[in-house]
Amino acid sequence: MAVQQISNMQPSARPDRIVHDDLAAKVAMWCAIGFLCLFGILGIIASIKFVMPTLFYGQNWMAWPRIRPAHVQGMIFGWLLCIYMSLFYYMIPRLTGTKLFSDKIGIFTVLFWSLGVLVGTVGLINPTDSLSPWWMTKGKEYEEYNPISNAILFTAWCSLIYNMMQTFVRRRYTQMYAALWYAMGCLLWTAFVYMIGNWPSQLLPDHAFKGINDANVNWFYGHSVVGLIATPGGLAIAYYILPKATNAPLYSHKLSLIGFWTLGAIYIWNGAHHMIYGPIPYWLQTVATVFSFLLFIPVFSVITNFFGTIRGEWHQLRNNIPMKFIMAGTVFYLLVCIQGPLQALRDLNAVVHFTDWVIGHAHMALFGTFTFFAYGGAYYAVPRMYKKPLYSEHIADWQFWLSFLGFLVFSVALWVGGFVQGLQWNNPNIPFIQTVNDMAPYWQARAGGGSMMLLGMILFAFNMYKTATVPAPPATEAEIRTSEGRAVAANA
Amino acid sequence: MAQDTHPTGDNEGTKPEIVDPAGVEEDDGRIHYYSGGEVTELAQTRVSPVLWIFWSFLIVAAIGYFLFGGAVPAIHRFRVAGGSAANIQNLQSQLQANYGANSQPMVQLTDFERPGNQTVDQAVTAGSDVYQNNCIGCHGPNQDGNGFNAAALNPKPRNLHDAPFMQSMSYQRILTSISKGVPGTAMPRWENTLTKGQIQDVIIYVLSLTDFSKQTGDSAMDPSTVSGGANGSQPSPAPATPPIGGNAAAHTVTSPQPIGGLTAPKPGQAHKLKPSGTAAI
Repeated sequence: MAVQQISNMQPSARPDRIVHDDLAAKVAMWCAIGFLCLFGILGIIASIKFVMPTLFYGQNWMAWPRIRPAHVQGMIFGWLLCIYMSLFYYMIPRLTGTKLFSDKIGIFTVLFWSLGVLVGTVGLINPTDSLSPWWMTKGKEYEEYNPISNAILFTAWCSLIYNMMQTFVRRRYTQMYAALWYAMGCLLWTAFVYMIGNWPSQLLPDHAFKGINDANVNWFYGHSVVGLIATPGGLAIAYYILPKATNAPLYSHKLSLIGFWTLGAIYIWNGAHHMIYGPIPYWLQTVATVFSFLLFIPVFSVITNFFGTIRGEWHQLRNNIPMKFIMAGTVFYLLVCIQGPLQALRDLNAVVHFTDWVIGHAHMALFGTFTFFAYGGAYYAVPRMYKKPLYSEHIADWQFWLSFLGFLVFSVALWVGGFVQGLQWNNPNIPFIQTVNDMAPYWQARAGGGSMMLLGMILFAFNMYKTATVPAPPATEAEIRTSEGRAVAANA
Repeated sequence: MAQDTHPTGDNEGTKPEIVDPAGVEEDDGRIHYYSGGEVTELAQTRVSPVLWIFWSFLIVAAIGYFLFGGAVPAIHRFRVAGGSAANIQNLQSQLQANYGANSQPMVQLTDFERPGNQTVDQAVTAGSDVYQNNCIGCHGPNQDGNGFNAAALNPKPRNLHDAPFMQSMSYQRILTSISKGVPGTAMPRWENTLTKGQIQDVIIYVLSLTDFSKQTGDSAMDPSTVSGGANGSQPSPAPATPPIGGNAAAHTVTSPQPIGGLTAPKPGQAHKLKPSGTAAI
């Protein structure tokens, strides 16, 4: 049956040329870039407070425990998900061969989502020192945003799903490329995970998760924010941008599907590895460790696929900005996904749990991998949205090296420092305050690396702004490619 | 859907009629086209056998770890308990120097409101009776967690002479452990068995075990003499540490709330929290 069906198949016919105006994608891009700079600044303040504890001393709303969750949540929901929306608005219409279902819904989605992020952020920073449970932080890691913000974000995400699904059902191409699978996974899993994780458990006296169950759900959600929200969205972007930017065919569609389905099947089991040696059942911790190791399956399928794709195209690394970011992100993806399962081992976990090591690990996923993918996607998509060549490759190069080297300084400092910290904590003969003093040089290095990363973000925003606003006649695809130094590769 | 196209069809080499301006090079059927040439994929690739072998090994190892992982000895025990006596002495003198200079006890045994004219010693004696009748089976005659039921219990009952641990416990924490039981352990909930007064008595008794300034009656167990639990089981390590700050009654009180009629330490005396340091201990 299937053989007959396959043999009857015809390759997709090209539709008439569609002009995408990318309105919603542009709005989402600017929201994302604004949030990137805002929450980047909050992040650098949080890291400087480790070096200068008296910074903003006495100002409640600038206290470290308020700006740190504002930075983390804002970077995930403000920056990453906004830029994912922007790039989804860009690539999904192109991959489905139809226009975005509704630009108006798309713009509404982004603005409403941004409102939710701002409401949540103001609630976290809490300038009025409110104690209302509807307004202040929920106090649980990765789900600090207040319930009002949760409702806004969830509504906005549902409107995004509606818009995207309407686009999917109107598609001209019946065959679904891997990026579409990952994008749909990101859309559905985000809604699913977000609703479970932000169930108002502290506000409902009954019918809510409590105690250990609450902690379990919290970490199911906390890990799924990375695994089922950031990962499929970022991989969707990379699966689209990498072959397009390098002009190389994808290595293997089959591998991408193996990766996709194992990602969905395995990732949801991993949350409990955040509570190894915690109060949850021992067997549950073991299950989380086992599934953490099984994550090598989706990860290696992605890594193999990306390295296979650019086989023979490495020379493009010289001047192909999107490829630079995507491949650096791929390498970090490999590293972070080797680190993660090893951390789930009890022996290593006994050392690194609660230490600064974990901060370095989390940043390698969310900054080193997915933010790099998003940078690459933006460098590919923004010139094509505005139909103008990139304003400056030179600035983009600077941004790449600032982000890359800054992140290396940042993360290596935290890994070494965190490991030292963990070993010291495990030695009962060392007073706790001594372990704090010994971290000083690592925290200084972290603040320095973080400053380089922030500088890269500002250069990125500047480059994007100039690209969009410099007056120039509309450029063709070929001209944009020429400006990217790939005229020969285009061969059109 | 029958009209679906699929890149792995036999006629996959048929190229789209319009070549994308982005351009795919002329090929001889080695490329699949997605989305009308918007993106392409190499035909005839297969998942490397190395990957399949690696993944199979991973799955087998994962199942094996789940089934038998508990049998694998830990490479290294990072959770060191204790330290050399000299190191502990050094640590405690540092703590004393940093935090204990003018330390006041957080909770004095005399802070408890006791019915009638009951003295601390009377409360300790009453608590000792409660202990003898209810707790001794697991926590042992020497209060070291080596009662005759203890051999079958995992985790083992708490060694009540473990001064560093006991000093880190707030009144509320001990009250909750006794009243409600401790989930995940064999410690049952006593609030339906013991009266509130009995629970308070036994708390005072338990606190007095590590309070070397108030050794009274049969609770005056010199820690150095604690050895060999019941039934010849392993003796628990003797509490090697003298009370930190010189006053073992300095039990941290997080938030003394009267619960269920039990009177917590008197307000005003209960909140002598030091500005820093206790958390570090």
